[in-house]
Amino acid sequence: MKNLLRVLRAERNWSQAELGMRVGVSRQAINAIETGRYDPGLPLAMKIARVFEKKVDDIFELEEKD
Amino acid sequence: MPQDEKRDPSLRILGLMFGTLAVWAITYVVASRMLHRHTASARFRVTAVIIGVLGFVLWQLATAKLIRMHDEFTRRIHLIALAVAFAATGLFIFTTDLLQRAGFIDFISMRSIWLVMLCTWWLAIMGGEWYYRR
Repeated sequence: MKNLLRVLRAERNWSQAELGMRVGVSRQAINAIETGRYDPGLPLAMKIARVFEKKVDDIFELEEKD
Repeated sequence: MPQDEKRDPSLRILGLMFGTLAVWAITYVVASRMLHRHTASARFRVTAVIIGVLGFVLWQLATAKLIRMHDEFTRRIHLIALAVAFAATGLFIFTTDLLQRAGFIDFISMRSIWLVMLCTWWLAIMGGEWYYRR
């Protein structure tokens, strides 16, 4: 799954740790999501969408292999 | 100050985990010493087993609580690590059973099986963290 997390975070000048704090996960979790190694569950994806004031679909996108 | 009195819940659980680890170690030593008396009655030996098992169960519950407190990403790493530990222990038991029956090795202690499970669990946690954080 592709995501725009890194871009959206950079736009707001947030660190991974700061975003993690806002959605209640560790910095490592945010890093793993950004690098595409970990796909978040629905509650976390919705929390991420909420802090960026976007829809989940606007941030996460399915790839062909998914 | 009320804020000073508030302790970080994760620290509290970590303290609980180490506390139960100490309880487990103590109950294990006590149970082992009790079981060392071969002449003791069945009731005495059953009591020893219960004491040993209770200490272990307490530690397991504290560990489970600690894992549940983490975010979903860390829980996933633990879940994978437990699956790896289960598979590795299964493989170890299966292999040593065949090696024993083939006459290549002698008796394997149950404690060594438990040690293999603990080690692979820990290694799998390290491996999982390395994979996701590299």
